[in-house]
Amino acid sequence: MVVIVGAGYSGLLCAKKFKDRGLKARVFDFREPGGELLVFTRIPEFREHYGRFIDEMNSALSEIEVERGCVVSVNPIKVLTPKGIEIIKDSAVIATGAVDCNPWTYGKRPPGVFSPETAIKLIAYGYSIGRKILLAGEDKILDLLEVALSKNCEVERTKATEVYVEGDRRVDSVEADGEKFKCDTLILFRGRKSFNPRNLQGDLVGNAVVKGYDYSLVKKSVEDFINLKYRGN
Amino acid sequence: MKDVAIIGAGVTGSFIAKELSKFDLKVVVFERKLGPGLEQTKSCSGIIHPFQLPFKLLRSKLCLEGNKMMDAEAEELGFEFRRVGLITVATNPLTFFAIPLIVLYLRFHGVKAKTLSKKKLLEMEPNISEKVYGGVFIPSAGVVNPVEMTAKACMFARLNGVEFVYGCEVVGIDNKVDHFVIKTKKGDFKARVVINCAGIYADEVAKMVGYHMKIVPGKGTHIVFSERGFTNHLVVAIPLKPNKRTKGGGALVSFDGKPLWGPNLVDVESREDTSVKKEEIEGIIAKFSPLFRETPKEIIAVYAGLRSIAGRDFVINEPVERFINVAGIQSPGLTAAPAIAKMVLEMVSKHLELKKKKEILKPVNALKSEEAICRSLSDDEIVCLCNMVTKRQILSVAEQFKSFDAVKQITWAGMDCEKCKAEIMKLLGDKILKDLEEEEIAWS
Repeated sequence: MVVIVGAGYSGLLCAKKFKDRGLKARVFDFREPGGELLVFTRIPEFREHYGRFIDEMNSALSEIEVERGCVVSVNPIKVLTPKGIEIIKDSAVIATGAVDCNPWTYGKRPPGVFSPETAIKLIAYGYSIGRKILLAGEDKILDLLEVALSKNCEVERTKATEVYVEGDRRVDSVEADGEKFKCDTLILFRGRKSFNPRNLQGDLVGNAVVKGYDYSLVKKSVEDFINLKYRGN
Repeated sequence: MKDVAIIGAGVTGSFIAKELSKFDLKVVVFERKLGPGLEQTKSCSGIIHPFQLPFKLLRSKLCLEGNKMMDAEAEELGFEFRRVGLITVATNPLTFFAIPLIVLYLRFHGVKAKTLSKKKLLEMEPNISEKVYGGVFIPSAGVVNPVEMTAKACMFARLNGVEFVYGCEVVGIDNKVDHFVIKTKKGDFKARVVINCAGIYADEVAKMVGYHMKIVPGKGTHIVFSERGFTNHLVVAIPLKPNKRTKGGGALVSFDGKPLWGPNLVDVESREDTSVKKEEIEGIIAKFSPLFRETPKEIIAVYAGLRSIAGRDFVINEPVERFINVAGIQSPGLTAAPAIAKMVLEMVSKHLELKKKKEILKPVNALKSEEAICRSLSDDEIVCLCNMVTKRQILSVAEQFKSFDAVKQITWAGMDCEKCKAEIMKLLGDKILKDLEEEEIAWS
């Protein structure tokens, strides 16, 4: 039996592939299943771009049971559940996903500086995140954000990630690559890192390894893992 | 009519409020920010210093006293305090030969110190560079979350009857001989005794009663790295010549174990200047990197804070009758806070009768054990996985301190990666903070 930590795209896809091969797996998530793709579903441009992965995940979700629990350590696996602490002596597959690197900047730290991940969630929650937005960095995710935001806001772009922020109660301007942008919001992409705060050791799979926004690579990571580890099973 | 009005709910004002709350007195605290400790206290290093040079200064005496008191304070108020110890490293033969003298000098002044051979040093800190000669270990140094420490003092004080008025800037003080009228942005208040803990604005408050002093803000920048366990103690280099103005910062450790490098010290013009320059970050990294085999790789945050400097020492006096000045509380203000509170209590006792309360209430602290988290999971959820903070804990702090900044600093939710940041904003935006400005734009 295998324990899968994380019921986002990768965890659910993994669980489905195990099920198809007749392997037993238990899937835990410390929140509700769906991961970040569930958030993407709420924004039309994102829903369209990630459509096939969202559908794949939803299909898996309809077949897989997800248990609410927070895995805090492995060897043996220790899970905090509403029913109490559970110890499981099996191996773990870590599908906890990725998180954006902290959007730190030079200058001041006024309100209005977000990572793309935070901005996407706020938009999905229905907040208006700003009126004049500067998107800093390079990635497809910023292109998607630009389209989504351009409907109601002024959006500017810069490739620079080493930026200098000015402003007191709110971002007032951002200096990037020698150019000064007047804006009230900065969305800064400094890359992604593995989201594994409990530092769980085991087979890392999916975005916990890929650390990006390209889900075709995330899917490939899961498929490669299953083929390698459970070949012929 | 209040007995005591304290201006400023930084660590200084909060600990004074906490002590006063143990007596039968009507105390009010005015704080211009929306929560406690959100100005200087928030952006200091969180270090509980083992000593301050030179030993003859008032701030040095208060540092030693405060350091000794810290375990009891942490126990009484329920904040986290870890004595991680300080290692000061000899990076050249001169400072290496000075080690026995340093140890003797510290011990003579009541500071425990132990010589460390190069071998022992590398055992204690495997990441330290091979090029070091040896060091001194000073076990009494420690770390805290300064805002948590301050907030817990405020919660204790509030539980025992002290009134806190946040978002309330003091704009004027009228001396009416036997009491003061304090004019604030939220109305006028009367108090018999006023205690000035206004931090970087302490000189402006002092001026309101006709006492002239000058506070020069000194900006200190820090770098927070993500690699917990890079160092386990505070690491500094033995200076060839001690700097009169600053201890020089170090490769420090935050209370949560993350490497915290800095601070530097830069004089600034404006009291609102907390900007971080790229050269300062590069300077800090260049200064402390040579102590180690490798530099921590990932920067999580950089921040700068101001110290209120009034010359070489604290200025704790009573320039006008019943106006107690507690100004120029630069480093080691955090360490000295409990000792300063004791000293100020003495000064207050000359004007007001200090009748000890029969019953003093102690705050109940949130359990952080795994069992406790499990028990709460049936109707609660973990929001911040990095620091195991639940939704209820966040809302409970937000109930007391209506400030996003305060909630983050006190619960530490969202202070590692920012995965939960949007959710915390949503939690607070929906439930508590309905009357912030610029609501239409998601605030941060």
